[in-house]
Amino acid sequence: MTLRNLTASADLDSRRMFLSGMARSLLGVGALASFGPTALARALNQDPQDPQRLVLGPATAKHVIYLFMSGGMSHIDTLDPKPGRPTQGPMGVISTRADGVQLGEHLPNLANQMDKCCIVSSMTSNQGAHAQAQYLMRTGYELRGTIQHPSLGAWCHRMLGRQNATLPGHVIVGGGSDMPGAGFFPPQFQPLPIGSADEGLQNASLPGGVSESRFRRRLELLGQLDQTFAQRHKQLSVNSYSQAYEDAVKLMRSSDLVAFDTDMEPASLKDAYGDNPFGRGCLLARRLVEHGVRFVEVVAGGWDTHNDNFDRLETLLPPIDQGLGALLADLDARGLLDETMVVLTSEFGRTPDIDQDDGRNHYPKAFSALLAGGGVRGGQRYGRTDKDGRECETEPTTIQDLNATIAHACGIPTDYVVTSPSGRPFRVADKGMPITEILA
Amino acid sequence: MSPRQLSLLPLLLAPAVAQSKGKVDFERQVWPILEKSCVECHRETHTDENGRTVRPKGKVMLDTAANIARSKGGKLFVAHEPDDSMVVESISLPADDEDRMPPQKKGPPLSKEQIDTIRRWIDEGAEFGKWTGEKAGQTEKPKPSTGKTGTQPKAQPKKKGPSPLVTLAKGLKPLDEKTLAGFADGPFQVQSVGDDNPLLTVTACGHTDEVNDQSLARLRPLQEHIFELDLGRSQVGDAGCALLAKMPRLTHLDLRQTKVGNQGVKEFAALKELRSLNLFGTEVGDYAMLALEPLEHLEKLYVWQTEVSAKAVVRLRELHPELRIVFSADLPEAGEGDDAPAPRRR
Repeated sequence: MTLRNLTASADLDSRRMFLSGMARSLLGVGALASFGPTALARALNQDPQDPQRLVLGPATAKHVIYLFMSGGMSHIDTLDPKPGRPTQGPMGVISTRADGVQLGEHLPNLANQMDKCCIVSSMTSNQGAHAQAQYLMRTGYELRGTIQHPSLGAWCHRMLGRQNATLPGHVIVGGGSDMPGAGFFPPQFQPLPIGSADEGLQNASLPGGVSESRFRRRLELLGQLDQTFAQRHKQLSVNSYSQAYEDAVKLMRSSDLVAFDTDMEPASLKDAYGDNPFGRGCLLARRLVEHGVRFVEVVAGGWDTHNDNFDRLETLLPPIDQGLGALLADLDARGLLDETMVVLTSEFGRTPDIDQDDGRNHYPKAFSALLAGGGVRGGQRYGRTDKDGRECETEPTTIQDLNATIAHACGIPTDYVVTSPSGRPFRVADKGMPITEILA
Repeated sequence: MSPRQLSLLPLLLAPAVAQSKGKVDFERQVWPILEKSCVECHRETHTDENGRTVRPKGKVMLDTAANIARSKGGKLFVAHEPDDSMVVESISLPADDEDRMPPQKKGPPLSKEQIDTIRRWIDEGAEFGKWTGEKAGQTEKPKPSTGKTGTQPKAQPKKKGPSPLVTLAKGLKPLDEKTLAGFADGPFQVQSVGDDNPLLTVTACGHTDEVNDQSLARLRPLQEHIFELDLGRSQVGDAGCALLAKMPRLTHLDLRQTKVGNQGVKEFAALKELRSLNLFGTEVGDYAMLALEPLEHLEKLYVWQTEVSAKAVVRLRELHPELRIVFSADLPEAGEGDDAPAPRRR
């Protein structure tokens, strides 16, 4: 952690606040104490009356595992089936552990965990192109040429601080390089990308022939070389980059580095998650949140099923069902599901109408997301689409509303404004409103 | 004033002229508008009929005179200055503007007459008269279930009293800065539970190798204030449990994968407020289950991968039918690997 409320100082508008707050939390001084907003503000030389001060609300979630189905997951074939309607296609429907909630037939393990999940079936957006829609989903803002928005993971990292000062605040498994990260936030809020969960964290040990003392001398030399520059240019960005080096060294020396090693798990558990990149990604995500990482995104691709939708879903869905089913069961049995919110989402749904290639095409007007844990009341469906899955009939929910719900559960005030370096105001989920009805 | 608002001016002013000259009475004319269109979302944090905590949207509260006056730092209603009052702008925006209040999906816009009444009331000084707030003790009527959101949760959570976050904080003085500052160097991370509450959340996460029965003693000055304590994966064992038992406000205790066993858990009979106890991956057994029997408030108990027997679980369940005891994991059968047969092609 770092402290709820101490992170008030995350507001980079004030250099002094930056140094007293973020630097302490990120440079590994270790634990920081937060003492209720007023005492804390005094301890940080802040004005307790300052309306800009960040005061976190009570949180039901401490961590987020965000599973992103890249390419556009068909809502009708997965979370929002329409049995008996022509739009359903050849795919069957199964009942679940939640009364009245049905799923597509390839999700039996998820069906078994539905008592823990809430499906938001009335997601709606107007972005029907992959890049724009993915950007919107991850940041809550439309893609613009003039600014890079921080992702939800970067917001969580910045607002909540790290729980484990030696591990990154935000990790992306199976993606990262082409995705929004820190955006206009300073570079230390950039996520750590892990290419493959199997390989874990690469290049985290000293190269052959470099001893610990030699490594230390090299770091000292680096420090000396940078010193004059850093003194001459006392800027946050300079500070932030040297912090990135220190973070990397801290990570290399962390006793929690084992968090990245899924091979330490028993074979039976690895099998339960599934021996494939997504299953292993879910297992890695569980290990990371267990060790205090705030936000882990696992990316699974291949959902852009313009043709052979049904055949391809037969291959695509089982690993997701297996990995997600295992993740929910495992988190629950360890007592971690109460404090970890699991989100399954995609940039949009797919057309209710099946085209001549047995395909379904991009469809942002109505689609589904799934939330579980971290204070979400399970066993329910929120919102409803019409009988063919074309329109949201009740409770239309924007992408910003979904992000606001996640942020709200983490205790991040959705009306807190962070100003970009260019002076523009931004909020964690733009103007989204949290769906408090589905939270405990 | 934005051009958009200017264009609305004639609309807003016209009925003002037409209406009677009498001063607007808040309780009779303005409050009914707020009550009908605003207060459902904009009222003080309260507990709804399902026992859930509902916070005011956007921190705007319109349920009492004091709340109306202080919401948004007093900028919501600026006496004599309707054009500087944020509320006038937000209710006057076009229906499709995302900042319009009430939001499109929550309710219909206010009528021109209603907007005008609010404007005039502000213009005349925004005085409440004798009205101080929504009548005390008056709770929202439970809404009849419309069933329109499809599936209802299987079991509605039963009505609970106020949250322990509130009851346990009552009368508790916040710790002084000096005591808390002592924790800046670890190994514990201490934070407030949120908002302005003196209760504390403490975790050993990130320093699990330094937290043991000896270093645990450093929490002694915080023992009255700790609400939630995460010692998961730390080196704490039975010897440290005596101190834990002296934390009267402890509601959540996480000891997963520690060396705590039966002897330590025996001490927890004193933790009368305990709601959740995580003993996953410890060596506790049936003897520990007996020690937990007197805990009236316990809601969740995690004993997967321990020595606890099914028989002990059944016994504790009989005594506490409401207690959720997790002693197994509902994991899927082993899945197909990458070498699963390729799907059939059409």
